[in-house]
Amino acid sequence: MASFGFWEPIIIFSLLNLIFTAGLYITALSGQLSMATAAFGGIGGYVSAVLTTNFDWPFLPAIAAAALAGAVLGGLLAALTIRMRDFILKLTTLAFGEAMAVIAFNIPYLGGANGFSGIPLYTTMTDIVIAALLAIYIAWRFDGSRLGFASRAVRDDPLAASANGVSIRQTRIITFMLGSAIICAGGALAAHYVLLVTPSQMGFYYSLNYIIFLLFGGLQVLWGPLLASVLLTAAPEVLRFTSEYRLILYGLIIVMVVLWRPDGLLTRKKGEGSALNPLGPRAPDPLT
Amino acid sequence: MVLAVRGLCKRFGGIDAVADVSFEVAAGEMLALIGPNGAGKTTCFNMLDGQLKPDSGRILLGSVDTTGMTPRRIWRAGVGRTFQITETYASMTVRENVQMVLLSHRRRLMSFRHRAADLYAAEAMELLERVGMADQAERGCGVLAYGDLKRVELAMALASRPRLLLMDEPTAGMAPGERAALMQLVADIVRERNAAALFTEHDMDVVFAYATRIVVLDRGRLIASGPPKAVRDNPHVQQVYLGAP
Ligand SMILES: Nc1ncnc2c1ncn2[C@@H]1O[C@H](COP(=O)(O)OP(=O)(O)OP(=O)(O)O)[C@@H](O)[C@H]1O
Ligand SMILES: [Mg+2]
Repeated sequence: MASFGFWEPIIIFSLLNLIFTAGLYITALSGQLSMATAAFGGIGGYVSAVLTTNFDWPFLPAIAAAALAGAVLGGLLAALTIRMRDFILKLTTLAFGEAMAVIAFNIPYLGGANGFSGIPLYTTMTDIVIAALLAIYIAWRFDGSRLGFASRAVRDDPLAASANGVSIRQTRIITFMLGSAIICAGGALAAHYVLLVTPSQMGFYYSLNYIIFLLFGGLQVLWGPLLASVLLTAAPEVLRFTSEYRLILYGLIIVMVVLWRPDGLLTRKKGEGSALNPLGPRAPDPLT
Repeated sequence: MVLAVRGLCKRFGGIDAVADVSFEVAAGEMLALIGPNGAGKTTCFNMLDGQLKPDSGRILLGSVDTTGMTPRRIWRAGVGRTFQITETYASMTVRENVQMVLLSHRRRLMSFRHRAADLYAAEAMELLERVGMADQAERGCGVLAYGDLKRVELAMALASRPRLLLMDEPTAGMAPGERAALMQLVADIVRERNAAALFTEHDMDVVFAYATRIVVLDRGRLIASGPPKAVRDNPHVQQVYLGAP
């Protein structure tokens, strides 16, 4: 593939963030706004890095193993938080992410605080583009699928969902597994591009980015968060000419969108869908 | 007998929300459960549909003992429900709300294949037609007027073809004309399907126009039951409920 020069890292990091965001979108579809996105990314990175570097695994099986690890851990985290809602759920995913970072920090085999280095460079621009397209396709298919319906139902109104025969447990576990698998696969791709995985990149500070992409892009349609992830990753780089004002500008853009489009960048057609509060909307109570 | 409730009890802290309540609902009946605020009507519903577990007592749905079952299993056993405060899926369109229930009822929800919006669309539209919401099928539930939400909720409840329909204040927030239309629709469907409806209602005109029988609760206790006329003439009911001296 042609060289993109200055643009190459910008495109690659934008698409990596898009993959992560697609995973988080699926997880959040059933109402679980995970604060552990970066942690899952790191886990995927470590898994693939160790398998390729220390066990000479080829690239593709290593990515698959990372995705599998994501599915297993995501499923466990979902099962652990199944009775939790809103705030407590978010705090628990946050704690999970931090715990994973601390564990990685304390395993000398993984390189401790310095992280795992010496990872082979595998990921190419072509790989990233294919992976991003695949992630978009999976998220898009899931979004419109029957499971996607079930997920939205559980997010919008768990009480009605359980009264309509939807299994909250199954739905939340499936979305968390699929979302985390995608994020971990993305993390593996990142590891073989950056060539380093560290505990610090798994922290909440980085996970917050993906929450911002999600809320900034809007939770109503998949394209919102995906667009936001690319725009907000590329913008600070492209706007580099303003150097020290870069972050301020970045913040301003977010404030403007939140003020003018409180439901996010993209929304469903007018009259379709609603002002969607990610904490779970409630119908107005006419009696109180 | 569609439903038989025997000695149902539920306490919250020191309050007897429902105390030793027994009644039955036969096929084709529209049974109104009435009583002043806090009488225990919603608590009763919540036990019937599995949201709450009774402290004691039995609930028989036909020949099945559903006491203490999960809401999912009770719903599968044939109990549909609408809520005092409407519960719909705000981010989905009216039609999608009904499709969701149709898919769930046919156990075809947990799949990755097919676009969900294409499945059972015609059937969903039929139900929406019946409740008079077909023209708003593509609107989001989050932007609907309250009376319209109540009708969507009824379409959702009907989608699972329940033998017993539980409706907690189905006409609250509706204009008088709309109330009559909705209750007439429920009466028609109950007759057509030989199902039964159990509803709570504060509007006495609606109760006396559509209930085939009435059960009156006061502070958790059943104080009267019978045909509308007998209940209206019951001095105890007049005293605690209808506000007579
Ligand atoms: N979850 C709960 N915890 C504690 N007390 C409760 C709970 N739910 C209901 N109660 C109490 O139980 C009693 C019965 O309440 P319930 O909601 O069943 O009444 P209701 O007949 O539906 O009244 P309304 O006509 O106002 O809807 C009330 O005193 C209420 O305060
Ligand atoms: Mg009530």
